[in-house]
Amino acid sequence: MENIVEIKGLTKSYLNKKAINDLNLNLEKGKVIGILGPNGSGKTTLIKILTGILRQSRGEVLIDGEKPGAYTKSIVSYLPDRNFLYDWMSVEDAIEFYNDFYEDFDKTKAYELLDFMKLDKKDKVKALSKGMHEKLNLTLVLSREAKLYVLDEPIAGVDPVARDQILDAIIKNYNEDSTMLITTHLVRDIEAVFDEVIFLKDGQIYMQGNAEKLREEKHMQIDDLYKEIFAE
Amino acid sequence: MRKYMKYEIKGTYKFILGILAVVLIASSVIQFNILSEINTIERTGGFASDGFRALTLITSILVIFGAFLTAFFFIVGSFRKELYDDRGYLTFTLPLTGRQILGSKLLVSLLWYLVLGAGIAIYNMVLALILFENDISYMIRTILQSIDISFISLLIISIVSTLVTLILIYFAIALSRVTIRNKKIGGIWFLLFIVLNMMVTFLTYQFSGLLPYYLNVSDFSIEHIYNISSFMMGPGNSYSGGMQILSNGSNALMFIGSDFKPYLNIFGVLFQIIVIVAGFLGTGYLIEKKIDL
Amino acid sequence: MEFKDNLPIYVQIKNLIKKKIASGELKKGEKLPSVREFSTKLKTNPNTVQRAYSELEREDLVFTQRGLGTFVSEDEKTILELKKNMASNIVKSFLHDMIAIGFKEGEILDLIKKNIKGE
Repeated sequence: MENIVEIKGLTKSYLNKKAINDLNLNLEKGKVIGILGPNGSGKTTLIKILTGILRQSRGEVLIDGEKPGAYTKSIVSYLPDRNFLYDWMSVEDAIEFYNDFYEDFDKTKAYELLDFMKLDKKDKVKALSKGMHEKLNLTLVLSREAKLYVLDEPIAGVDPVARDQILDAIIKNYNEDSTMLITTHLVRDIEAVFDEVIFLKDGQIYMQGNAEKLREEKHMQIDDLYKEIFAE
Repeated sequence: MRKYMKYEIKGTYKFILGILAVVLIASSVIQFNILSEINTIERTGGFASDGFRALTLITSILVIFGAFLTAFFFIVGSFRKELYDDRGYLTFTLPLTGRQILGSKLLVSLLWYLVLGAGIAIYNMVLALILFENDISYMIRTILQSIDISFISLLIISIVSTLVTLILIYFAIALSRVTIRNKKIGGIWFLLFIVLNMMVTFLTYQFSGLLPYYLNVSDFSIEHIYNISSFMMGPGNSYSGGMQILSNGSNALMFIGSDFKPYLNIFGVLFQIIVIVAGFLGTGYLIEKKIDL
Repeated sequence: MEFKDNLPIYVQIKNLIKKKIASGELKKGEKLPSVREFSTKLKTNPNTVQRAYSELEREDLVFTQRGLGTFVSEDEKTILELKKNMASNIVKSFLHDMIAIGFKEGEILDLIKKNIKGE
């Protein structure tokens, strides 16, 4: 099967430590992939390199055959774990902004999702609650027909209702031509969505595999496996 | 890139227009002060400035100064925020190159400088003519007359100089961001900027002094300084955008000759343009290849 | 639905559907929810639901009609067979547990009779 992401010998070192240490990874098209690991495991560093807001120290990263840059940014839809929209924007402005910059953005779909999430287009971005923010950000990110979605902690810190809506939106908008990369440390809530899981530990891949196969082999859910791996 | 500029303008115009409004109000206060001062003198034959009026005058001058400083730091801050705040996660994941983002920011900042400069200049000119001159046609003539080749040369020099300042600031911010990850000591960019600016100023003077060839902008002839007969000083430092545009001495970037024609120092200006290009490429490289949000 | 035990999720989904067929909640010939619908409801990957459906189809409990969807088998024998299988599994696991805590065959039978009479 074709790979959307190919990573070879990836290393990112800071003065005193290696956030990513000689990591090799291929991601197939059409999969929902969970990147699991506690804080400091290298999840965020990996994602930042993939989305082009951080450069590696060594190694190679190819997304759809290209190094991170303007092209890969046009096919990667990124949900950061923070409020990245400009302060002056309203919900409507944010949609127009995405529509202007991303050719794969589907405005009709965005407004449908907005409805589904019960968001008002006249609302100011600054005035949104944490859960509403997350929903708006997800609306924008999922309204693109991207080749690769990168969702960083999409359900962290939102209430259960919002969490269900977010999961619904992810499942409904998943399609066979695109790959979804989701990082999380809240494994229980989201593990059923994954085709594959990757456990990151100290900047390296500790374990990787088909989620169902792992459940079968280890006789436990991924969440329990996670606890076993990262329990100290 | 045009799209990004559009949003850059959308995000900043309210603030800039606010600044403009404050400055215009303050300068109106100054002009009315002067007018009433003149009236008082004409009526009574002596100065009759009262304390309140003096206070409003001084306050207005301070307000204008403060507004310019605020605008300056706002424009600088808008670049700094991209590198230090969460908004960078949006800006730097747009399908744009580092240079496109940088270029947009630079052009919009320049635009705001020009809008502020032109807005204030024209408003004050018009207001002064309305207050102190009754002949409208004379008023228009006066304004049109002031737009000559010297004025345009001066405008170009101001733009070049503004761009040098901006690009050095951007470069200093980007460099301190990629070398020092700690946000708290991010103020280091200012020191870096001061040092870079001093170097550029020094080198500009060296170049223009060592190679004192001047372009006569009115007929595009090139003259050595010694061939330009006695000359008088340019319209003074008040026109400068805060940098080394005009200064006394033979190595000025520009001066008005005794023939009332504008002369540009070729190598000084050339060096400044090289600084702009190098600074642009360098900053573009830093935010494209060394970015670390 | 939260997936808690030690089975793969597709097996759990299969079991859920089997239970519904056996109990009659899903009648013979009735249409199952579409893969996407069901995966949204269960908050699970569509591929997982698809796999559960495929395996149920291999066991002849459901059948797929191109473009129309997946339906519960119309063959009563198959459904009866399923019920028998499930019942026998429940009994087996019950017996296994009872023996594990030290009951003998006779005691187990007595206990069951008493319970059925409603004591």
